[in-house]
Amino acid sequence: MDENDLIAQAVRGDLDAFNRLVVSYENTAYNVAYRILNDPIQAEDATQTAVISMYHKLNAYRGGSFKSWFLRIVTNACYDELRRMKRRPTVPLEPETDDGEIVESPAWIEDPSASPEEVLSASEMERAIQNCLSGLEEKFKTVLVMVDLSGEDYESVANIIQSPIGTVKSRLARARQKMQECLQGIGELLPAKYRLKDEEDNEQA
Amino acid sequence: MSKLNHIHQADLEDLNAYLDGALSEKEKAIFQLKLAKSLPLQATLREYTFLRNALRSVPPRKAPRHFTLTTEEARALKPRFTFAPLFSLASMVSLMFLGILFASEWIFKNVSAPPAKQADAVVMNESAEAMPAVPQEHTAIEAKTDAPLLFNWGQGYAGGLGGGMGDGAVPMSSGMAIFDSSHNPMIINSALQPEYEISAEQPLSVTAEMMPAESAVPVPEERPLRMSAPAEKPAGYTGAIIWGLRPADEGKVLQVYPPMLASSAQPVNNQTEAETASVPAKGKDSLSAIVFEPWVKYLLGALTLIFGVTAYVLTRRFNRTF
Repeated sequence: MDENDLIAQAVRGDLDAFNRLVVSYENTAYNVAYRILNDPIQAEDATQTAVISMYHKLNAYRGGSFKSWFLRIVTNACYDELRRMKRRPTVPLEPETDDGEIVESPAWIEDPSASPEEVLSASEMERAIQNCLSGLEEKFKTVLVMVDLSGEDYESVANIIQSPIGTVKSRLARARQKMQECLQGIGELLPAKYRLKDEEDNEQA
Repeated sequence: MSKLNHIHQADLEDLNAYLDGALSEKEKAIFQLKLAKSLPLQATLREYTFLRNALRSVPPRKAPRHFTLTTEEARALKPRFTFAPLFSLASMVSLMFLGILFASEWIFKNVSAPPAKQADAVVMNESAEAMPAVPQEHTAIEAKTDAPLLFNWGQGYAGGLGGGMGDGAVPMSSGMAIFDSSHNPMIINSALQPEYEISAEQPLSVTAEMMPAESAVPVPEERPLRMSAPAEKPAGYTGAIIWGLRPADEGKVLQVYPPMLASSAQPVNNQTEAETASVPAKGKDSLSAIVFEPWVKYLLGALTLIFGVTAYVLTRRFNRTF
């Protein structure tokens, strides 16, 4: 059964068809939410809120890319969550070691299949990227997450953020420029594999 | 960073689009030509390629659980009927009526009235300039009182405001007699018809009964008035001017604006309040009067508040179920 059939059945009230659509896109939705919110619990909440919102708005779906439509709902849920966080900031309960120190990279979010070195370098790189992402404005962060982390094309992103493609291009250029500046600042902390080209050139010189 | 400063923002956008394969063939060819000539652009392309690869190398996270809905959840999420939109609409309608009420009242008070006063002032000034000075004895009489002046349109022969009376009748003059509240007569002259003279057959007269007993000025019992007598608003007179009534309108309560003031309107001339109360009000005017009553505003304000709060409470209760 293809996506259009599932959508048609879901619109008619078929919960099973709706849930199959949810399962198809939940990982993408959760990843987008996590990159925008930088918090797994809030990302989970935002994704669940987006699914509920999608269930309510399913009758308002008027064709086009279902994924883009769903990601737009996810993005809006993330913006709502960010606004809520600004109004009522919370302190996350990080797991602690026996010495009382906070574990910044909990084991449950690490990929168990990778080797320890790969896990270390990948997690450092991911942490560096996530730190830089957190410093971006929402509008730049959303476009960067959609294009570079979620792999959406410009047209889809324009559809998701409901702006012209020109806006996507300019926001992406600004977002990458800021990301590059940020990552250059912490480049020395990264493994050589992830350092930017210029730094490698400087080291060789 | 220094390289980026040498690159135009448009080129940077094209570079990103080139990197992502989002340029058309024509745009791609143009950009490649530009890229071949610019070393900073080539260096930036290398950096951005590396950045893009680094970003894309970040492993995707697996959702910690499924976000599917159970049958119970779906049933709870089904849209249910609620009165909240109705109350919300009622609140908005009440608010709209309240706004219209305040706006119309404000217009009556601040927009309609002042221009009329200004127009009167202009007319009076022009008339005063065109008129010769009032005789000294009249000025002295008028200066004694601050009671409003009464402009009488003439007696029964005027034939209505601006209306002709046919052959033989005396058309209404733009000149008019002025009376103060102590019934001391004075005559003003029309700038348009300064030489007009009222005929003796239908004289505009001031009788002795109209004069107060304490009046110090002797007034002839009855005499034809010559409208060419010069007059102007007496110096120092600060009272209001009341335009007189046609004889047919005497004893009636005329339209009062805003209508809310109608209830406090005093009977004209010597009509008693009891007589005024006996005058039947027209349906339209009475409705207007009710609308402008203060309690209507209070009622609308209260309804707006009650409906709005009810809509808010119902909406909150409805949303809490999700």
